[in-house]
Amino acid sequence: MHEPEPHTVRLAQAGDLAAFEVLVRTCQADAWRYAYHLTRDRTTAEDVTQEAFVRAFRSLKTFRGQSKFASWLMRIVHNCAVDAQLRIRRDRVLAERAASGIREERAVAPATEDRVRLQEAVDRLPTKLREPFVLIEVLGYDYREAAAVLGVPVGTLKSRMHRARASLMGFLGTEEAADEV
Amino acid sequence: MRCEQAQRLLSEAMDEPAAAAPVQAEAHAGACPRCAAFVQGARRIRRSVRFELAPAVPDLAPAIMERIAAGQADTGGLRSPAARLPAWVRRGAGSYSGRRAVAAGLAAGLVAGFVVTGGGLVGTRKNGTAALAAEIPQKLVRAAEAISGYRATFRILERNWAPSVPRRTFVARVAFRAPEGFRVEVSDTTTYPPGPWTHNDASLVTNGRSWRAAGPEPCPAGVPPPCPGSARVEQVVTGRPPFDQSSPMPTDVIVPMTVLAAADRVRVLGPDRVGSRPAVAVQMAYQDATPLFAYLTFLGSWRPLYPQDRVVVWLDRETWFPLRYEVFPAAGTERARWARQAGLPRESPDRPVFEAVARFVSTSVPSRRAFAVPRAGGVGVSTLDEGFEDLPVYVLETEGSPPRPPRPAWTAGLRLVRFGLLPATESRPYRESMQGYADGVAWLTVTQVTGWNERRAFGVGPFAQRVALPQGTQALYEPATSTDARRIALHTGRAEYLVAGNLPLADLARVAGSLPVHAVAEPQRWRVHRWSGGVVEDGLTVRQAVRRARFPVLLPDRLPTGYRAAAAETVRTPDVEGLTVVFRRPGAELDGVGLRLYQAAGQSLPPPSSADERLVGVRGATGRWSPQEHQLEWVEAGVYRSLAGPSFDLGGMLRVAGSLLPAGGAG
Repeated sequence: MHEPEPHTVRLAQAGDLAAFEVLVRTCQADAWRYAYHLTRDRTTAEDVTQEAFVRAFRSLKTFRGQSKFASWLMRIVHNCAVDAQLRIRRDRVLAERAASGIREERAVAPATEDRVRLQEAVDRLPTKLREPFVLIEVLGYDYREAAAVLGVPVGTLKSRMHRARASLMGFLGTEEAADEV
Repeated sequence: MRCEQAQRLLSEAMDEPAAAAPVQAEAHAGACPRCAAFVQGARRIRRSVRFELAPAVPDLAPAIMERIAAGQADTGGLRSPAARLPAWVRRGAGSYSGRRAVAAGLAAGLVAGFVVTGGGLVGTRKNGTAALAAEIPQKLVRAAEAISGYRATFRILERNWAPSVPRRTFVARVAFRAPEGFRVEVSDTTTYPPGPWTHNDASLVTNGRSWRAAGPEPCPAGVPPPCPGSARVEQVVTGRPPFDQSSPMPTDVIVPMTVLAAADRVRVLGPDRVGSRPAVAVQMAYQDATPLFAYLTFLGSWRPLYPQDRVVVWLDRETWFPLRYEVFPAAGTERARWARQAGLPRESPDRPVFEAVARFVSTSVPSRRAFAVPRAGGVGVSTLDEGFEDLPVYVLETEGSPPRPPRPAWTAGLRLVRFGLLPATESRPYRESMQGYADGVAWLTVTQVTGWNERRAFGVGPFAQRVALPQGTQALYEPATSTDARRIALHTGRAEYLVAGNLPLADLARVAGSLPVHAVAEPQRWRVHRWSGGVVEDGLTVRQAVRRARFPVLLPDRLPTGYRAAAAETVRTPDVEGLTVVFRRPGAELDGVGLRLYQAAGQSLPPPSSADERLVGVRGATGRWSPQEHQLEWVEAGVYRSLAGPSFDLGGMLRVAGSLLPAGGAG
């Protein structure tokens, strides 16, 4: 997780837009990765990330420093991703594309077989399990930070992480997972 | 302990390294193959995820900041900056005492990008600051060379375009990718009243080799807006030579290399701020700032501005990017008279009539695709193939036959980016080879011309100034104009050479002097042009021209700041003997003229040519002032005299006229 300097956050809150751009550059990679894993589409992830930062800019003064800035931002990314998915569901054409498994990025990414399988397994996780998995395993959040982003108790999060891991191993095949180490 | 409970505890322990798994869970995993497999599988997933689930992340910062900037522009509008201006800026040049120094530490470093908030001008005039106006040109060059890419959004407000449209607003998005990628999209966001108004939406794009401009035709001269019937036009140029000035790339909006090339015309007002950015405020006359507007005025209709209107530019103290610039009407009756004739209302010198504010600036490099020039086609498209044939630059860098055109030994650090040929044609029976060098927005070209068959120097006019290059080589120099770059012409026994670019004169001269050629003065016959009615001799120094005159010649004892004699010309016919001296400022003379003093024996005051000409007192005689021509004429001691200069108003011209002394007595 990339957390900007508190001083930079304060400057941005005071209206220093150069400082806000520093926040963008510090957090955009994590924000996009999270959006990408939530939406499973590069283009949608870009839109979500942009929208999240614009919303963050508008409500920057409401950030009181009670959590990390990155956690606060990821909450916004999460909300934007949910909004984007709702919009996509309403769009029948896009829904059909999603149903047929068209994912433009897969065709162009130089992916290994393992990577593809792992990505597909993560994608198959239900949203409630995928969200904490991405925050904790991919972005390196701890339970408290991830719980703040997702708005759930830490205990619930721990349970979901366990279920996510178990599900992934089920998708990938326990034997294969086990005989590697 | 059950497997599920043990696995959950082991999972938690993975995510909280500080908290070890309970002993019972570890013990269970040690004895249970299923739970041991869970631990191993979870670790493998972690390793795989952290190393493999990391797709390439796009850089979204420019787009995000642009959206924020656009949002601010859309919702905030332009604040009235005049009220925020410090009084010493509002009052203008007349109240300013002396050249002011600017803040120290003007670093040429670039930032990745920033958004400029609206307004926010803080009058922080300080004394005792260090950097002088004279340093500006070199600082600009250093900044210009550092730019690989640039993107900016400007919000523009124009007042009094038409009586029923007193306020127009625009958004201009500018992108640049070194060396020759330039794009500007101008969107007219004005709400027009009902009527046949033409929206001023225009675009210009070039990738260096091709160029395209599209937008509405300007209103014809003398036709007030809305000038119905002004059609949209599209101009396309292909086969474009490097940095071709006839299909321009108006990069002064990025770094004002032309505008601020010479310190003599810029008044540094002092340090200031634009939004959160430290800035330096400078002031100049509109006539010297026109390249700052070229990214807008390439097509479409815009309100007229008076040559002596004041332009205040706030330059970013780190990057030298213009963050904001405003045009304030000049004071005085001449300007008021001009405004009435142009159909403009009374305009206060304290209220800007034009404002441009950068809402977002970034040095991120735009994609090459942003500068793709669409194929020309359709009705109303004018196309021109300039015929330049690009060759690989290694051709120039490889020794061997056929012989390569000479390369300058010193290029001011600029690198060779293009090389090619303009073959001879029927209308251009000579051959040009061109080398284009660039770094950032700084550029220069070196042209070799063979087969030149005209009796004049290539690339410069009859009033080019004779200069000695650092190595003692003789050459002819012309300052930049609104349509041509600064340029130095060299004549050799075998070919003509032209070194042109937006570098300061000193750098261009050093480049030209480093060419491995032996330049000599052009042949005498090139300077003497005979025709049936008489003979014109140009390319003279003032001293040479005065010696040839057989009537009392006057020369100015005092010239406006920065002006100096460039060249002179004589003309003789059976009835008239005349002499013209041209005075120019060395860096740039954007009107292409400067100040022209013409004196002729045997010539009388010609009849008036327009209704707005009026009689004025000049040196004890009755003379005539032509505001359209910016020309003052009178007859003194039986000799016709005239002073003309598009940049001069009547007051300035009378001051020059008042300082005239007999040649030999002038200082």
